[in-house]
Amino acid sequence: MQTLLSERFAPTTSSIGFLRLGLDPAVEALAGWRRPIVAGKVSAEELEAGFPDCLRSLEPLTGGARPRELLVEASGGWTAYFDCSLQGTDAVSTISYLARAAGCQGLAIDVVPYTEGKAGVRPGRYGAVQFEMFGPLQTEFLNYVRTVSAAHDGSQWVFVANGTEQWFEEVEAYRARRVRDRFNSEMLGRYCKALDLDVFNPAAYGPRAILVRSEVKVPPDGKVMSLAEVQRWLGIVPGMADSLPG
Amino acid sequence: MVPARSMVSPAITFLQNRIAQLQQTGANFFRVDQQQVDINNVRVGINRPDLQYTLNGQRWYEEFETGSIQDAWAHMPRIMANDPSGQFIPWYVP
Repeated sequence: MQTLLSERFAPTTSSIGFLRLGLDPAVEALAGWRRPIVAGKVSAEELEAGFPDCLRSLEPLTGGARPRELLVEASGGWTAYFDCSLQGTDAVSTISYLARAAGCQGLAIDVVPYTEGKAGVRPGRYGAVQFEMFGPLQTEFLNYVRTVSAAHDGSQWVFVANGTEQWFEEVEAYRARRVRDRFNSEMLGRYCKALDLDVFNPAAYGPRAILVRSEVKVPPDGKVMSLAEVQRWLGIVPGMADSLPG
Repeated sequence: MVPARSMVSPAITFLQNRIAQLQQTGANFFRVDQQQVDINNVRVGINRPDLQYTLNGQRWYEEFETGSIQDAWAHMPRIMANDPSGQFIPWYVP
């Protein structure tokens, strides 16, 4: 399975959001959304560390609140979005909103290897490969343009293809007998390349990165952990995904 | 978070409006018709609330029913047993 940086920074990089917008307007859109929510207590800081070291600025990872969000220049005029959420970036919520607010195209991807029941991995993870494309306008459901997904829902593998089919899709694969074979990370990579995004190539990110901080409190029930602690907690073994299918 | 095909049209319209309204206020980690997870995104049940999200440091669960508000309330015991610190909102969507 293809992942960004062989999951060295998973779960933060298991989901990634993208806006087809320059870095500075993307920061302004994000900070402008956050400011009224947290009574103005929002700051943006350009980081000296390049990619992927800038991802360290998101630590510690938190549950129930999202005080740190990171925007990074990406290929093809896109800006990548990551946040400090405990179990990985919540790209969909942010990107679907900002695509509308900023009037641009948005993308949220999700790549998680299936490791449930794998020897030596506890707890395992349910696998997923998801491609969700957003536009600035209302569609059949919110501003979703296209969703293609093969994901394990905890009980079984489920394939979904909703919205308007895109010219670059490999639709013949959607008829594969095994559900998880209908959409894999290589296909996802090719779909993104068709949109000028080289999602699995670290060189396609940076050099500029801006950290947006919001003064929000982590709730009493919310966990706070370092990336290494989260990886142990979730059973993430960097490098393992390289030899797994999906 | 695209809704299940089993969700009827009035509920889908209501759901879209509800999500758009909640996004504006900074809600995140939306799940639509997916297994229940708590504020740390840990699965706490195999039941599937119509809508769940995190807002202001709390996990919220909502059920939309087209029959009656009582039908929506009927989901509360299971949901709250799974996550006692969560919040539940029932909706009647005629």
